Amino acid sequence: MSGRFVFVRDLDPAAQRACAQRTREVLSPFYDLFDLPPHRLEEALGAQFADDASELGQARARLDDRGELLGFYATYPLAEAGARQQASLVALARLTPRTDIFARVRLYRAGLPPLEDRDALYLARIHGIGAGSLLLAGVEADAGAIGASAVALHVHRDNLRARAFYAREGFVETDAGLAFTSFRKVL
Amino acid sequence: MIPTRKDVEARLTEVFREVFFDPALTLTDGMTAADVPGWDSIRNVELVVTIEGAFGIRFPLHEVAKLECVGQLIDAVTAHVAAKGPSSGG
Repeated sequence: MSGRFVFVRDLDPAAQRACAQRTREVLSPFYDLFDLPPHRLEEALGAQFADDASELGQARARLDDRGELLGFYATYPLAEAGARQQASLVALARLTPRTDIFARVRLYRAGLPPLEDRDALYLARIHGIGAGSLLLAGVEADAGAIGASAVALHVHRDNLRARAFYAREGFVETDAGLAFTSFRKVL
Repeated sequence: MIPTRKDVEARLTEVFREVFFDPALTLTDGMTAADVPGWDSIRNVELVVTIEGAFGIRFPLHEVAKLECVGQLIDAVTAHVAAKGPSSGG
Protein backbone atom coordinates (compact mmCIF):
# COMPACT_ATOMS: atom_id res chain seq x y z
CA MET A 1 0.00 0.00 0.00
CA SER A 2 1.39 3.38 -0.88
CA GLY A 3 1.57 6.23 1.57
CA ARG A 4 4.15 7.41 4.02
CA PHE A 5 4.95 8.23 7.62
CA VAL A 6 5.85 11.75 8.65
CA PHE A 7 6.40 13.37 12.02
CA VAL A 8 3.19 14.97 13.27
CA ARG A 9 5.17 18.15 13.96
CA ASP A 10 5.80 18.40 10.19
CA LEU A 11 2.12 18.19 9.22
CA ASP A 12 0.18 21.28 8.22
CA PRO A 13 -1.52 23.12 11.12
CA ALA A 14 -4.98 21.69 10.38
CA ALA A 15 -3.70 18.11 10.40
CA GLN A 16 -1.76 18.78 13.60
CA ARG A 17 -4.92 20.14 15.20
CA ALA A 18 -6.76 16.99 14.11
CA CYS A 19 -4.06 14.86 15.76
CA ALA A 20 -4.27 16.92 18.95
CA GLN A 21 -8.04 16.51 19.00
CA ARG A 22 -7.80 12.73 18.50
CA THR A 23 -5.11 12.52 21.18
CA ARG A 24 -7.46 14.20 23.64
CA GLU A 25 -10.31 11.92 22.66
CA VAL A 26 -8.37 8.67 22.68
CA LEU A 27 -7.08 9.27 26.21
CA SER A 28 -9.95 11.28 27.60
CA PRO A 29 -9.93 9.57 31.04
CA PHE A 30 -6.49 11.06 31.56
CA TYR A 31 -6.90 14.44 29.89
CA ASP A 32 -10.27 15.04 31.54
CA LEU A 33 -8.43 15.13 34.87
CA PHE A 34 -7.11 18.56 33.98
CA ASP A 35 -10.49 20.27 33.60
CA LEU A 36 -9.33 22.34 30.65
CA PRO A 37 -11.58 23.53 27.81
CA PRO A 38 -11.05 21.19 24.81
CA HIS A 39 -9.50 23.89 22.61
CA ARG A 40 -7.02 24.86 25.33
CA LEU A 41 -6.06 21.25 25.93
CA GLU A 42 -5.65 20.61 22.21
CA GLU A 43 -3.46 23.69 21.88
CA ALA A 44 -1.25 22.36 24.68
CA LEU A 45 -1.11 18.90 23.10
CA GLY A 46 -0.28 20.48 19.75
CA ALA A 47 2.68 22.25 21.36
CA GLN A 48 3.89 18.90 22.65
CA PHE A 49 4.19 17.53 19.11
CA ALA A 50 6.90 20.14 18.57
CA ASP A 51 8.77 19.47 21.82
CA ASP A 52 11.02 16.45 21.62
CA ALA A 53 11.19 16.16 25.41
CA SER A 54 7.46 15.43 25.64
CA GLU A 55 5.56 12.18 25.23
CA LEU A 56 4.29 13.35 21.84
CA GLY A 57 7.54 14.75 20.46
CA GLN A 58 8.23 11.69 18.30
CA ALA A 59 4.63 11.18 17.16
CA ARG A 60 4.34 9.98 13.56
CA ALA A 61 1.40 10.24 11.21
CA ARG A 62 0.50 7.93 8.35
CA LEU A 63 -0.64 9.66 5.21
CA ASP A 64 -2.29 7.92 2.28
CA ASP A 65 -1.08 8.35 -1.29
CA ARG A 66 -3.15 11.53 -1.61
CA GLY A 67 -1.60 12.99 1.52
CA GLU A 68 -4.70 12.47 3.68
CA LEU A 69 -4.19 11.65 7.34
CA LEU A 70 -4.96 7.99 8.12
CA GLY A 71 -3.82 7.91 11.71
CA PHE A 72 -0.87 8.50 13.95
CA TYR A 73 1.04 7.07 16.87
CA ALA A 74 3.46 8.25 19.53
CA THR A 75 6.27 6.07 20.83
CA TYR A 76 9.45 6.44 22.82
CA PRO A 77 11.96 4.08 24.42
CA LEU A 78 10.49 2.79 27.67
CA ALA A 79 13.66 3.93 29.44
CA GLU A 80 12.60 7.52 28.59
CA ALA A 81 9.07 7.10 29.94
CA GLY A 82 9.73 8.72 33.30
CA ALA A 83 11.35 11.83 31.85
CA ARG A 84 8.87 12.25 28.98
CA GLN A 85 5.81 11.69 31.15
CA GLN A 86 7.06 14.21 33.68
CA ALA A 87 7.70 16.75 30.95
CA SER A 88 4.23 16.32 29.46
CA LEU A 89 2.62 16.46 32.89
CA VAL A 90 4.43 19.72 33.67
CA ALA A 91 3.13 21.23 30.43
CA LEU A 92 -0.48 20.39 31.35
CA ALA A 93 -0.23 21.03 35.10
CA ARG A 94 0.89 24.60 34.35
CA LEU A 95 -2.47 25.23 32.71
CA THR A 96 -4.91 23.46 34.98
CA PRO A 97 -7.02 25.46 37.40
CA ARG A 98 -7.35 22.47 39.73
CA THR A 99 -5.38 22.46 42.95
CA ASP A 100 -5.84 18.72 43.43
CA ILE A 101 -4.44 17.76 40.05
CA PHE A 102 -1.48 15.84 41.43
CA ALA A 103 -3.64 13.71 43.70
CA ARG A 104 -5.90 12.98 40.71
CA VAL A 105 -2.97 12.02 38.50
CA ARG A 106 -1.56 9.83 41.26
CA LEU A 107 -4.86 7.96 41.52
CA TYR A 108 -4.99 7.54 37.73
CA ARG A 109 -1.44 6.23 37.58
CA ALA A 110 -2.23 3.71 40.32
CA GLY A 111 -4.35 1.93 37.71
CA LEU A 112 -1.37 1.36 35.39
CA PRO A 113 0.55 -1.88 35.81
CA PRO A 114 4.32 -1.27 35.73
CA LEU A 115 6.27 -2.25 32.62
CA GLU A 116 9.55 -4.02 33.15
CA ASP A 117 11.08 -4.22 29.64
CA ARG A 118 13.53 -1.36 29.91
CA ASP A 119 14.78 -1.86 26.36
CA ALA A 120 11.29 -1.96 24.85
CA LEU A 121 9.69 0.74 22.74
CA TYR A 122 6.61 2.12 24.50
CA LEU A 123 3.54 2.77 22.38
CA ALA A 124 2.04 5.71 24.26
CA ARG A 125 -0.75 6.76 21.86
CA ILE A 126 -2.27 5.38 18.69
CA HIS A 127 -5.25 6.48 16.70
CA GLY A 128 -6.45 5.61 13.23
CA ILE A 129 -9.69 4.04 12.17
CA GLY A 130 -8.97 1.09 9.94
CA ALA A 131 -5.26 1.78 9.78
CA GLY A 132 -4.27 -0.03 12.96
CA SER A 133 -2.16 -2.72 11.31
CA LEU A 134 -0.46 -0.20 9.08
CA LEU A 135 0.37 1.98 12.05
CA LEU A 136 1.65 -0.96 14.07
CA ALA A 137 3.94 -1.90 11.19
CA GLY A 138 5.44 1.58 11.52
CA VAL A 139 5.76 1.15 15.28
CA GLU A 140 7.58 -2.16 14.86
CA ALA A 141 9.88 -0.74 12.20
CA ASP A 142 10.78 2.11 14.56
CA ALA A 143 11.40 -0.36 17.36
CA GLY A 144 13.70 -2.36 15.11
CA ALA A 145 15.53 0.79 14.04
CA ILE A 146 16.55 1.59 17.63
CA GLY A 147 17.28 -2.03 18.55
CA ALA A 148 14.35 -2.40 20.94
CA SER A 149 13.60 -5.95 22.02
CA ALA A 150 9.84 -5.51 22.24
CA VAL A 151 6.92 -3.11 21.90
CA ALA A 152 4.97 -2.51 25.12
CA LEU A 153 1.76 -0.61 25.77
CA HIS A 154 -1.12 -0.07 28.16
CA VAL A 155 -4.76 -0.34 27.20
CA HIS A 156 -7.86 0.35 29.26
CA ARG A 157 -9.29 -2.90 30.59
CA ASP A 158 -12.77 -1.98 29.37
CA ASN A 159 -11.54 -1.44 25.81
CA LEU A 160 -12.31 -4.94 24.59
CA ARG A 161 -12.02 -3.93 20.94
CA ALA A 162 -8.47 -2.69 21.43
CA ARG A 163 -7.52 -5.72 23.50
CA ALA A 164 -8.78 -8.05 20.77
CA PHE A 165 -6.90 -6.00 18.15
CA TYR A 166 -3.56 -6.26 19.97
CA ALA A 167 -4.08 -9.99 20.57
CA ARG A 168 -4.69 -10.45 16.83
CA GLU A 169 -1.53 -8.50 16.09
CA GLY A 170 0.60 -10.87 18.15
CA PHE A 171 0.73 -8.95 21.42
CA VAL A 172 0.53 -10.87 24.68
CA GLU A 173 -1.25 -9.52 27.73
CA THR A 174 1.41 -9.29 30.42
CA ASP A 175 -0.16 -7.72 33.47
CA ALA A 176 -3.43 -6.31 34.69
CA GLY A 177 -3.69 -3.20 36.84
CA LEU A 178 -6.73 -1.59 38.42
CA ALA A 179 -7.90 0.17 35.27
CA PHE A 180 -5.39 -0.78 32.59
CA THR A 181 -3.71 -3.90 31.33
CA SER A 182 -0.35 -4.12 29.62
CA PHE A 183 0.54 -5.82 26.36
CA ARG A 184 3.91 -6.70 24.91
CA LYS A 185 5.15 -8.03 21.62
CA VAL A 186 8.63 -9.45 21.37
CA LEU A 187 10.31 -8.56 18.11
CA MET B 1 17.94 43.30 41.73
CA ILE B 2 18.68 39.76 40.61
CA PRO B 3 18.47 37.23 43.46
CA THR B 4 21.71 35.53 44.41
CA ARG B 5 22.10 31.76 44.63
CA LYS B 6 21.67 32.10 48.40
CA ASP B 7 18.40 34.03 47.93
CA VAL B 8 17.17 31.33 45.57
CA GLU B 9 18.11 28.60 48.05
CA ALA B 10 16.17 30.35 50.83
CA ARG B 11 13.02 30.71 48.69
CA LEU B 12 13.39 27.15 47.40
CA THR B 13 13.54 25.90 50.98
CA GLU B 14 10.13 27.49 51.57
CA VAL B 15 8.78 25.84 48.41
CA PHE B 16 10.11 22.42 49.40
CA ARG B 17 8.63 22.74 52.88
CA GLU B 18 5.26 23.61 51.37
CA VAL B 19 5.28 20.82 48.76
CA PHE B 20 6.51 18.12 51.13
CA PHE B 21 4.48 19.35 54.14
CA ASP B 22 7.68 19.39 56.21
CA PRO B 23 8.39 22.70 57.99
CA ALA B 24 11.77 21.43 59.16
CA LEU B 25 13.11 20.41 55.75
CA THR B 26 16.60 21.75 55.12
CA LEU B 27 18.17 21.70 51.67
CA THR B 28 21.72 20.67 50.83
CA ASP B 29 23.33 20.74 47.39
CA GLY B 30 23.84 16.98 47.35
CA MET B 31 20.27 16.13 48.37
CA THR B 32 18.43 13.93 45.85
CA ALA B 33 14.93 12.49 45.55
CA ALA B 34 16.15 9.39 47.41
CA ASP B 35 16.85 11.54 50.49
CA VAL B 36 13.36 13.03 50.78
CA PRO B 37 10.42 10.76 51.62
CA GLY B 38 7.66 11.11 49.04
CA TRP B 39 9.81 12.68 46.29
CA ASP B 40 8.56 10.56 43.40
CA SER B 41 7.96 11.52 39.76
CA ILE B 42 4.53 13.09 40.34
CA ARG B 43 5.82 15.04 43.36
CA ASN B 44 8.71 16.17 41.20
CA VAL B 45 6.27 17.63 38.69
CA GLU B 46 4.41 19.37 41.51
CA LEU B 47 7.72 20.74 42.74
CA VAL B 48 8.66 22.02 39.28
CA VAL B 49 5.30 23.71 38.72
CA THR B 50 5.34 25.25 42.22
CA ILE B 51 8.89 26.52 41.71
CA GLU B 52 7.90 28.02 38.36
CA GLY B 53 5.05 29.87 40.02
CA ALA B 54 7.18 31.04 42.95
CA PHE B 55 9.95 32.45 40.76
CA GLY B 56 7.97 33.44 37.67
CA ILE B 57 10.08 31.22 35.42
CA ARG B 58 9.52 28.33 32.99
CA PHE B 59 11.80 25.32 32.79
CA PRO B 60 12.28 23.97 29.27
CA LEU B 61 10.58 20.55 29.23
CA HIS B 62 13.85 18.76 28.48
CA GLU B 63 15.23 20.06 31.79
CA VAL B 64 12.42 18.81 33.99
CA ALA B 65 13.64 15.30 34.73
CA LYS B 66 17.34 16.06 34.47
CA LEU B 67 17.62 18.05 37.67
CA GLU B 68 18.90 15.19 39.76
CA CYS B 69 19.96 16.94 42.94
CA VAL B 70 19.01 20.07 44.85
CA GLY B 71 22.30 21.77 43.94
CA GLN B 72 21.49 21.46 40.23
CA LEU B 73 17.98 22.71 40.90
CA ILE B 74 19.28 25.80 42.73
CA ASP B 75 21.75 26.47 39.89
CA ALA B 76 19.04 26.07 37.25
CA VAL B 77 16.56 28.33 39.04
CA THR B 78 19.28 30.92 39.65
CA ALA B 79 20.17 30.86 35.94
CA HIS B 80 16.55 31.15 34.79
CA VAL B 81 15.84 33.99 37.21
CA ALA B 82 18.95 35.82 36.02
CA ALA B 83 17.98 35.25 32.37
CA LYS B 84 14.57 36.70 33.09
CA GLY B 85 16.14 39.92 34.30
CA PRO B 86 15.77 42.08 37.40
CA SER B 87 12.37 43.64 36.73
CA SER B 88 10.07 40.83 37.81
CA GLY B 89 11.69 38.87 40.60
CA GLY B 90 9.77 35.98 42.18
